[in-house]
Amino acid sequence: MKKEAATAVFLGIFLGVTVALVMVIKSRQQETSKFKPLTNVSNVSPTVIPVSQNYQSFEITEPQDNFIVNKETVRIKGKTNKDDLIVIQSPIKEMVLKNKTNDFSIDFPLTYGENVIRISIYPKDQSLRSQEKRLTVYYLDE
Amino acid sequence: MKKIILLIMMSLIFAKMAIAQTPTSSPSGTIVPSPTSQIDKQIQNLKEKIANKVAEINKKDKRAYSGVISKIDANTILFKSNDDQEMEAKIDELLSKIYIISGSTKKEAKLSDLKKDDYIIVSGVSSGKSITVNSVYKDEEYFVKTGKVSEVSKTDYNIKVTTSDKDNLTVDIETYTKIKLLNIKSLEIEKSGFSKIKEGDTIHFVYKKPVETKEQNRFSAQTILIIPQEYFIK
Repeated sequence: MKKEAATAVFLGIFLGVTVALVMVIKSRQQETSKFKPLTNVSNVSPTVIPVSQNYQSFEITEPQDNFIVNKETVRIKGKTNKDDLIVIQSPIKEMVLKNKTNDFSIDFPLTYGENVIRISIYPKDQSLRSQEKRLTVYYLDE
Repeated sequence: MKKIILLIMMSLIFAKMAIAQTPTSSPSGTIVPSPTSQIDKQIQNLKEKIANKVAEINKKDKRAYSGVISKIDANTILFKSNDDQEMEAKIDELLSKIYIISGSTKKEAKLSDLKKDDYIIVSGVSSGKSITVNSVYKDEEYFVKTGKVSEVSKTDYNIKVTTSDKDNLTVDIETYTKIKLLNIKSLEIEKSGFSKIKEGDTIHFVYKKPVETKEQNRFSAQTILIIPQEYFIK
């Protein structure tokens, strides 16, 4: 009798647990089917779209600001975008050139003493703003 | 027998160690440098490296500073740099030189030739905001600006300009003002005149700090380069 009772209790518990599991799984499936995703793509991650893939921000690589040179010219080197209009002006000279590559290099004349040089960039792409940099170079014989 | 073999082996090992530690003359007959000459060579190399590094740093750090004198005494000049920093120039009576720049030449001067509000260039060894002066040059201060023409006065010979720094300036055209125009087709700079300046044009201009300010934000142009507005709408 004891053995039969124990078997019956065990079967009862097993059946109960099985029925409960089946019910839980079914109810979860019903819940998930109510919420449909907006897109068919399973992995959506935010992406940053650049203005232009090859956009080069304007920078002067040479010379450093406040640099002393002991000759009448200085080589100005920098980076900007192809076809940008570059205007370089100082109290003694102004130069205009169209950039053929992403880099530019130009020999610019100096006067004795302080040379304030303003370099302006007018992008070919009209949606981009013009940019400017001020550079001071000293031509001193020391 | 075993003992003898062991003894022979040990003696061989000791012999090899002894040979390894004994200084030998090189087989080719060259002189092996003594430790002291090697140290000398290392010191020489180190000296050369230091000298090269110092030369490199000097080349990199060849900078000058400029600004307007705010205070001056027998051995110190306080000046406000272009980026609004208060700088101190320490003058050495024997070593520091004073010059006045006139055009493309300089002439030697004395400290007493400098006064408050003069524009100076200072070269020397800097440490923070203090400079041990090699030379001080009195020079003229020039401004190079860019802006858009908002108004042209044909009667008063001046133009109103909104600069890229958002300042509103009145620029007087004088008889000495050089006006140039960018040819938008050839991108050549051509001589031009006041009549070619139009509202909406972009101009690049240079003016000198006036000796006496006639009016706030009013200056006389030395040079004007006109970028016609047509360049931007072509």
